[in-house]
Amino acid sequence: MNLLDSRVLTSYNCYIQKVLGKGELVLDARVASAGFAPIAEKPLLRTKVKAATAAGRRDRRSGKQLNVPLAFSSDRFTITLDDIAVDEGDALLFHLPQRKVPSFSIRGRADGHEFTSVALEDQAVFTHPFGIAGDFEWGDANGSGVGGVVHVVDDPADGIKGAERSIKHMSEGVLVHIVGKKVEPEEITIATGQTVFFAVEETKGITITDRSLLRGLKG
Amino acid sequence: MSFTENSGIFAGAHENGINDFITAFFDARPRYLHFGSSFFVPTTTINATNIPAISLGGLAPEIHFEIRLDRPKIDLHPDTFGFSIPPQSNEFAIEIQAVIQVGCYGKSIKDSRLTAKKTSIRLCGRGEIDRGFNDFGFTICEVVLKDIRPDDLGEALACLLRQIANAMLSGLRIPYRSIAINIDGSALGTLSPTTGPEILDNQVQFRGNFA
Amino acid sequence: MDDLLVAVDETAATNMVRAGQTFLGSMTRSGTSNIGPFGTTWTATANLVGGAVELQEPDIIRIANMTMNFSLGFSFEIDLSDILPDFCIPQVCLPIPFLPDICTPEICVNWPTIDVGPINHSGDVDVTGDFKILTTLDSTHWNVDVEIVDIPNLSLDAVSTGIIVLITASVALALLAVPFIGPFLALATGVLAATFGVAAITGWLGPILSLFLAGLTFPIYRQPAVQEVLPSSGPFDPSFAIRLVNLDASVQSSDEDELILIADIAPA
Repeated sequence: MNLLDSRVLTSYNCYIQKVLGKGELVLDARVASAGFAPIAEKPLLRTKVKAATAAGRRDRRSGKQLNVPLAFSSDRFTITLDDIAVDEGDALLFHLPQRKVPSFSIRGRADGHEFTSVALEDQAVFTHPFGIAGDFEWGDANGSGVGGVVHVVDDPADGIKGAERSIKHMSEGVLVHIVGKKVEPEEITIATGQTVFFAVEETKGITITDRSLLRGLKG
Repeated sequence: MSFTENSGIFAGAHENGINDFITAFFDARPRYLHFGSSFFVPTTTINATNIPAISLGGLAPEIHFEIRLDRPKIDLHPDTFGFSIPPQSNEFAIEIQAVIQVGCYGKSIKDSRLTAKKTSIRLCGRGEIDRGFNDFGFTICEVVLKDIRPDDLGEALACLLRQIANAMLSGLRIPYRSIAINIDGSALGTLSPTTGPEILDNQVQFRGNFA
Repeated sequence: MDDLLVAVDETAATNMVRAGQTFLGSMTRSGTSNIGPFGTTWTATANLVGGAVELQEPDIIRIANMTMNFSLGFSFEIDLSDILPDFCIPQVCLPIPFLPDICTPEICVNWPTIDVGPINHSGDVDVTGDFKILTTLDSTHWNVDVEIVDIPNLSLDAVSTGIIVLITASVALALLAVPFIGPFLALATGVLAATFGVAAITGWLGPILSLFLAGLTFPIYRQPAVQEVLPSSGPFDPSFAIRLVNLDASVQSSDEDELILIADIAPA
């Protein structure tokens, strides 16, 4: 399924969270429906976060991307790394490459800063590739009122050259930047197969959810 | 030459089959073989038919009588069974054994007891098909009684017995559809004979169409 | 000599066949079978009407150019991973205002199995067959049935062409709902069009319709063995009946062809 809902992460999606605290980092992965459950007593990963330098703290874009590979077997999720060297300000990218497994969510804590993929709060990104043409209105299931529209248009893909062009186009991402209640841009047009990065800052915890799933809810 | 010729259906019943119809009829309705006035048949039942005694206008007691007939057998032209009077073209021949009883009063006018006087007689006859709209029957046209003298007595008795024999046969009406083993119906419509029934080749035959 | 002999001409025999076709009514069959590599689940209903009746010695009724009216409903699944190459969305890199450049991993697509249908189609096909006359007695009735001798070949190309149009439309609709198929839509459509050609559809449909013809039997005469000749006409005149024994049916040819029924009778 290619449904747009940041609460329900599939093999199509990535969740990226900046590490905003130092000290101990605790990470947990669980089925999407258990998204709001507290971190387990035995989380999937515990590690130390190295404090950022003063220069690093001044530059919001310093830090590095750290991929946190996930797997699902024997009815549970695992992080397929024994340890990971994390600095304050690094971007943790969570992805589950397996298909035909339950959808997942991430919960974690660094120092006092708790974060979760089911409510994107600050300096978090949710990526979603759009596989079918159409107009997709999205909103926040938590009722903040943020929202927008993604127009998805088929690339002409006649013949092999057309197919190759279409696949190459899929490597170009598009940004939607949400700061508080401000969405920039609210309306975008992309080609089928392109990925939208929903980058979230300074909110009280929002979701990026297809409006057809929000019937009856304000948002 | 086809059976149906210019018609839609041909049906033929051989004399053996006709005699099976006759057997079945008289087995079911035996009263057509037994007639009698009240001394002999007090009331009509399945087994016997009550008929009035012969009245003498009150001048003397009624004359009571009874006639019992054996189940008949018929022979369709041409001759098969060698009856005394063989069937002519388009005719059947018939022989029937009859037992007649008359109720006789005593010789004295004061003697009112009835005793039955019995005789038996063999009828030889020939006849024709009686065509109806949906069925046919058999009518005896001539009966001959052998060895009755004088001849005019024999002729008078033959006339009497012919009428009684035709009463016996009056209930036997065979529907055309029975000869046609009920092949008509919703598929073919109602059967209407166009030629016959006639007697030919030891059969009762007819041709017809469906409406 | 048989007690009773009844002969009817071809016109009357035709009407008896028509009544039998009507009595047969609609027949229904269900099953599963393949079109190419794809398994289908189908239900079909058929009836037979019309046709020219020809009587042939000794016991054959040929019915030429009957119309088999049929309606067919079917559905099937296509596992797209059998016809499409493995495909992964390429890596996407994008600068983020508050993060270093973020690059997603290559994400591989799981081609689904799509459901096509239910597709419904009605049509008719011409059938010519020889039928053998069979006479049987069950516990109460004499039955003269006609049973098809061989399953005839059916001309189905025109019908198949109509079905292909419906399949093509249903498949196109189902494919449009498959995420990320865009670059591969022409390829998928081409592969599937090659699978759903006239020969493949005829090869699938022929055995389905032939099921209705295999052993096809319907009655042309059915009457109780005990036949009432006269009904009761009063308390002293009960009904009387005869019994049909040894009934048989055949065809005789002279200057015309006739259906002959012979029977012996006995008191019931």
